[in-house]
Amino acid sequence: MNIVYHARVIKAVAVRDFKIRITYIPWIMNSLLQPIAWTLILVYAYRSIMGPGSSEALAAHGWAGDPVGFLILGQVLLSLFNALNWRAGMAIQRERWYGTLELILQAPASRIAVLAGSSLFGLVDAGWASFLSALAVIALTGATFNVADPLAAVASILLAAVGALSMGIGLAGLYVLTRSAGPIAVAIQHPTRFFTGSSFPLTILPAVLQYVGYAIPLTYGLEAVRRTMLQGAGLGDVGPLLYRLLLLSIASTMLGVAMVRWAEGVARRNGWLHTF
Amino acid sequence: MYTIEAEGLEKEYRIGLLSKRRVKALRGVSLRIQKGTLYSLLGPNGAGKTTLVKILATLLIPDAGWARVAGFDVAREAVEVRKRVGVVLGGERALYWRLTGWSNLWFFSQLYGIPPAEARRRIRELIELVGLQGWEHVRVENYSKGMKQRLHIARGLLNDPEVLLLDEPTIGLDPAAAREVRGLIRRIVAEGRTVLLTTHYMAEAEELSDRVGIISGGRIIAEGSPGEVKKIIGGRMVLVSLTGPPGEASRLAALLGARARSIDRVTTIEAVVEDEEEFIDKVLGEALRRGLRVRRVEVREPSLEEAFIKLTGGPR
Repeated sequence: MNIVYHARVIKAVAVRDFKIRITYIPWIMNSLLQPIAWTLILVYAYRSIMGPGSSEALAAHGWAGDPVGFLILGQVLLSLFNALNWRAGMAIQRERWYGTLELILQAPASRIAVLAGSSLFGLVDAGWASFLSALAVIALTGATFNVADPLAAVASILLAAVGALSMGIGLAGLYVLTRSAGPIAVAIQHPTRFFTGSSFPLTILPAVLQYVGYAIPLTYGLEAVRRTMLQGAGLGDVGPLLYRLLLLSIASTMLGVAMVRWAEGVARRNGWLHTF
Repeated sequence: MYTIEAEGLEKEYRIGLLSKRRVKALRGVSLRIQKGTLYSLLGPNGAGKTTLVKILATLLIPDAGWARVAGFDVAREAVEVRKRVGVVLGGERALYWRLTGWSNLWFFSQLYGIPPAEARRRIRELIELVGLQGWEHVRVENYSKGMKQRLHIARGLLNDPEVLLLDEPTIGLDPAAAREVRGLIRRIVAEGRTVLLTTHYMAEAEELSDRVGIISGGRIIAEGSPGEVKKIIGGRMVLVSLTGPPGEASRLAALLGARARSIDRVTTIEAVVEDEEEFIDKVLGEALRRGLRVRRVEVREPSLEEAFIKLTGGPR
């Protein structure tokens, strides 16, 4: 009974988010066009600065393969994280903006089911936009890929999406505690772009900064996807990356869930639920 | 049998994250509400009404004291309380404006675990109860304030609650819409539910309530049926209408510790007094001395509003 109840809550939240989402056509257009624009900016920046030698420059950092494909995969996965940062991360906070947070928390439904519903919709919503924008940029730039093990590529993409989702859930607990969630969410996007190596090989950074990058689940996802789709790597090659990605994703999700629960308790004790 | 019981509830808020400033919202509130009755909680702004409602709705944890709703402790058995309580918080928000009324109700019905077929039946019934037929598939952003408030009430009734907590349900509504909501509340009580209503509107409380409680400064300072509360303050209401030199009647009211209300050039001095004859003599004597003309003298039972003002020390 409980599982059916939780499943219905998850579905209801996801359907509600979908119904609200489709009333904002400019947002939908933006989520499609922004990754395309950003990727093209990066591709032309690389081409203008490095010229035809960009492949060699990347290869020197261990990334043999098409540099355009390297950028597309980085930008698309980063866009997926950004979308989930706003959808899963803001799942609870958004209710505060709507003025419905107290009613959601007054209902007997599991908060985690509510968070899961919003995250699920976020994943689907961000996923199709990222996929279509990636196809558009590939068509526009003629990027080439080298996939030797399709299963490894699919597993890497799925786990990278799980990693991005886990980061969104991890941030949900932080966002619910503050009235400045919007600016914080914006501020988080740029360090993520930098530390995950979405636009350049992470090895170009000083070692100490690389450690920061490898504390972020998305970094492993990006690396696994690039290795399987640009360098023909198989599951055996990216296994350790995916294993670490999975562990970090579980840790991030558990942290987010614990934070949301803790934040609700703090807010109920202090009377912060209604504050906007 | 009491459906709502509270004993010694206390709640203090900290103002700001780092500030040491604190505001005591409740100072030992005790309350008992019988099953199937409507209890109105009256109080000036900041008296603690909403804090009390939120504690009973499990949205706030009290610092001290305890409360039970439908037999369950609001702090330790919050989920059981939530299953049995409907909450309607005042204001226009707290609905998804980009969704239709039906979609709003459907969403919340699923949060309460109502099976789909039953949810559809229940939503149809509630749409009819609150008179939103024909509007259920229109986005809420197109509703009037009164329609939104009726949708709020429908949402509060989705889980067929034993207890309905209504926090200022008629605030901001025009008289016709407020009247519709009051009619709806009457029907809800007639169904046997227990209703706790907070309101600023005394006439509303007087019209609807089995019992009223007056809360001020975080304490319940008077409680009983509307008639009993009016009697608590004792005395009779005296109203003397005067005309004459501008400002003179107001100065006279101040001198006698009474209230003055002016409409056009007529000022009415009003006070709840123990000895109405003595008060009238005083007013008439002073009025004569100040060149004021007496237009009307009225003596009657004080209204709930007058009792409220006397008990809470006047409007804030």
